[in-house]
Amino acid sequence: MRLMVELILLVAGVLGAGQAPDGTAIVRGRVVNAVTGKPLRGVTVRFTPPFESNRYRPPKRIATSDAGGSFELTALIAGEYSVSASPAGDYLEARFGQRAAGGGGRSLHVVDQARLDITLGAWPAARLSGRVIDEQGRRVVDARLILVTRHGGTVDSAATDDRGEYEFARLAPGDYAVGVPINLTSRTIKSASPPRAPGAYEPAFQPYLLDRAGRTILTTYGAPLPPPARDGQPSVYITSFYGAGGFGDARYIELVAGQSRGGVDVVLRDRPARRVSGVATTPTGPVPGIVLVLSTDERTPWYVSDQITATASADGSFVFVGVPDGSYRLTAYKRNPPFTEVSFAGAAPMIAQDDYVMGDKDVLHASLPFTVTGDQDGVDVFLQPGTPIGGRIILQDGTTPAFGNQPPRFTLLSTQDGRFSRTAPYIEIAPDGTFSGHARPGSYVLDASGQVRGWSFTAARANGMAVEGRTIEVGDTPVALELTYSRGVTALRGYVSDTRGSLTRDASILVFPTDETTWDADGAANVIRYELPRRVAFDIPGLMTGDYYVVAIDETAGLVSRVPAGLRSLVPLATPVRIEPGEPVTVNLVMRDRPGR
Amino acid sequence: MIVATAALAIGLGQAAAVVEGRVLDDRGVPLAGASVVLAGGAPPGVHPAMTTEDGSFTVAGLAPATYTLTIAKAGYPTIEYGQPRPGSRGTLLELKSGQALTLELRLPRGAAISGQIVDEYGNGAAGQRVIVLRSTPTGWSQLRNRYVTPSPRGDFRLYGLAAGTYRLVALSRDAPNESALSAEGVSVSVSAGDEHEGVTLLALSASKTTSVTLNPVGGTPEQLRYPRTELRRPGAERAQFPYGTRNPDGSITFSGVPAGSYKAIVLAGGLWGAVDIVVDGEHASTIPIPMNRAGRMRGRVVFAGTSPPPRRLSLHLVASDLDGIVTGESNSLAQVGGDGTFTIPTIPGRFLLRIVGGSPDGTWRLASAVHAEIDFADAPLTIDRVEIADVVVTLTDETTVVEGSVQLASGAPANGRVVLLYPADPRQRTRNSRRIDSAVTTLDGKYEIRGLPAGQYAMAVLDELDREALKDPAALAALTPLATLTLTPGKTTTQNVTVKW
Repeated sequence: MRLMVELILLVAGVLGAGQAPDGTAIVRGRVVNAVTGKPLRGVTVRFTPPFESNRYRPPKRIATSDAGGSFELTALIAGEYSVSASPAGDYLEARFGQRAAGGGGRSLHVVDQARLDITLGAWPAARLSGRVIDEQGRRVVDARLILVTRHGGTVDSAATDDRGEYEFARLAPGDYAVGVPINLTSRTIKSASPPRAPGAYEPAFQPYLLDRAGRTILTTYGAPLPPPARDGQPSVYITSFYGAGGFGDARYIELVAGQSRGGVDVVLRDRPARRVSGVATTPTGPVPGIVLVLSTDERTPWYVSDQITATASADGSFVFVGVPDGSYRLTAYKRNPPFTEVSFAGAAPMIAQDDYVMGDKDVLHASLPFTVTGDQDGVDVFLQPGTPIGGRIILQDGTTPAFGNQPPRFTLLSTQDGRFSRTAPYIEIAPDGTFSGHARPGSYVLDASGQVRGWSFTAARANGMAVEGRTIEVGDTPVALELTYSRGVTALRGYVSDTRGSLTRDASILVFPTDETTWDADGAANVIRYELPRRVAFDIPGLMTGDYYVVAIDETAGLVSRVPAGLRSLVPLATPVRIEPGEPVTVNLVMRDRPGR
Repeated sequence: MIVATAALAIGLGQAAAVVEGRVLDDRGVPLAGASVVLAGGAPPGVHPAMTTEDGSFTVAGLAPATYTLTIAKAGYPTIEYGQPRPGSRGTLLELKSGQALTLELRLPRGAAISGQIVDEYGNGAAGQRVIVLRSTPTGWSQLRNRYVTPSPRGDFRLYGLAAGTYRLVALSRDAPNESALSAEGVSVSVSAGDEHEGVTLLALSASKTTSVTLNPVGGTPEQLRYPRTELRRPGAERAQFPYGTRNPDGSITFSGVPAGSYKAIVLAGGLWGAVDIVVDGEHASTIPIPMNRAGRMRGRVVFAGTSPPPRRLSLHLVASDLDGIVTGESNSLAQVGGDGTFTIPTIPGRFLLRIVGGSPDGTWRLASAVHAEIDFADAPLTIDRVEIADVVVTLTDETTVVEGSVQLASGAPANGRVVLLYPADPRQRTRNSRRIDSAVTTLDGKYEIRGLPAGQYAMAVLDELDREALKDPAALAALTPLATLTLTPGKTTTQNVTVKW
């Protein structure tokens, strides 16, 4: 009962004010080096209230530390604040309540007339620097490096200067790999592309190669093109990581707090650029918008592998202007709308951003192993439409669905790697709940989260068989799907307390399906949910029917990785819950310390 | 294969030309991996090559025609063949049938400027960026894609700069780019390959910020549902805070507002409110904004001409100076009715009238907009009353045309030059004047400017155009006109000029 009273008071403290009142609280504090205790001066300290949609929130406030590292904020409005400071120099962002370098913060609870004294300890940051050179020892200018952690994802990017030097700064302790991923893009040129006289607007010049037929150019992202060999044979750089070779051979560098590690030189490998050309067709002949992709190691995440793409002309002809020899998988898809063609301003190619994609109704696709050894013409690539998927939504009360212009949405997430994200299933859902579309053969995870007009997904049948878990296999034969929806919405609610029983908003709340196969699916972000902003009381609507884990973690000593390995480490701390439409599921959680690394 | 393909594009009886040679830096060192691109020809196209280890290149299969030649390499400024100085345009290369041209090209090394941003304690300052301005004939111009984010210790390095004079300014994260123009900064002159170290830039300390809540007083909730709100520094063209967060009670909150003076503006549903406020950076303040009913301007449109009237025509008011309630296009837009009459909602200020539409190909153009003997197509009309009537807007279907060519003293066409026309009479050089227009010369040096109002104009030719700088009448006054011309409706005026570079 005491908990509930405290909960109401806390909520009232945040929401009570309808108009901007003048604050009465004073917060004093110091910003210091978390290791040595040395005061840090001239540091901007930010007090940020949590976002509460559609409610009045106190303003963000800023203070600056003086020569003794001290700061003071007067007339502070009562409320919850996250407090952070970013000292100049090699320090990580300091957060109030942080227990270790790189950890999250706690919120500061400020009441009217409060006189608070806080200390913000900033952890010394690590840095990592070096050069990018090629195999001939030439420095590479304007190379773009990425920094990768062992547990997933890119954490930062940097570029080399005119001396070939780079630096990654403000790093939390951890293991890092560094490399230069290369994208090679062959794109068609506008049929009549008159080079305009250079005018007031000139795009930045980037080097490019023109195919001998004059209809395609090769541009590169990641590093400029290397000089050609003496005989004029062009070459290209390929994705290279510190420690020789590609991402698979990358050497991880362990950095501790405050460490400055230099001499991490990345050697860019260059290879002769081969020409690969041919025609891409479909059962109905050539179609506009075909894009071909050559990818290397299938286990390598897309963001650290060579990305080699070519756009085909409307007649299906394509040229990869420069491809290094090697073994690839050649995939193809139809982009709708097609990429715009390259035009020129003076001598500089102009390529549109092309970020508007509608998806391909037919899910045309091709995938075949492909080996490049020297120039190769006459390559035929045949794109097949996806397997037809049809079916209907059944309402459990036996009524006929009439969803109007808001039918429920569901998606099929590929469990294969991201190279196939371009051929995502395309399914159209009619107001009467019938649907049809196509999907490339493979394994999918059904995502039918969200609810429409009070109906929620409860069960699925594929070709007359009940779907266990969420996995749906698509082969070469058409798939008939029946999705059953029941009256009612889903909700997962509760509040979080610390081990002493006091309510807290300092936990990160994670909800993820018990079925591990969903953790890695392309677009898994949809099935792994976490609660932001962090609140005392959480309320997560629209989860898909099924079994989940829910856990509240204290991340002040370091953040928990959302990749499968990180989720697996949370399972022993988590509470299993079954989500079904109807009454909201209520789970009160105790904040747990994050699992050791 | 290369020759066979190229031959298709080359006319019968003509032989392909070849351009070959070497690229050296300013010291005569051969450069590997430099792009050499010829652009132009007939049919038009681009013809790139890249230099090998010894700096040599070959571009074959060129149709006899004129081309630009561009040389580029990462870490070096991009240059054009024949350009007399960095940043200016080059000359064209004319290739004859079967010609084999050998060129020794120079690509000067880029210069580098490095240094540190420090705070008032002499510590390296983070959270700032360095804006780079280059000295041009029309004043300081900001280099596009040339801002630098320093390291956490405040260190920065700019490289690949062409020889010239630069001004470096440190700006805080939330300061708009334009504010660099008025900041003092540090000026540095560099030549090719220079390594200019040790530039110290002083960071402005982060100012105290607080929140400001505007509370519109007067007007119905319906009228106030979709407010356009902003906080603008006095004299600034753009709002520092272009929109706030609307609260459930209808008030609007701006967060993180630094101490200083602002104009707080609310425009909504036929209402306007504007209050000058001072923010102390410490106390959250709620400011009542009395809302006023918008006025109206009524009048009629006269079509002086024989072309069929446009199907759709709108009129709107554009602010002529920076100290009014709005600084650019106002919300004052009105469609002209079938009988030629219009009613434009108005707010107080000094405005010019502009048209939108006038048929798809722009047949109809604004000739004049007259009220009380003021033609506010050119001279601002002060709106200080609720009701302004009997405005006569005259449109004309006759247009002026200026065309001609720009050439070098040698007689060669000067491509890529900016031809600028502006009023000969300094009094007409107002902000948002409709009497300023420009065109870029084509590869054969030709230009054309259509649709300027009749009158007397001065003409200048520039290397590059900085539209922001030209908004300042002082920048126009600093130009040296190459010609003065009188434009007459329905007539084409030809003006050829010769430039030195």
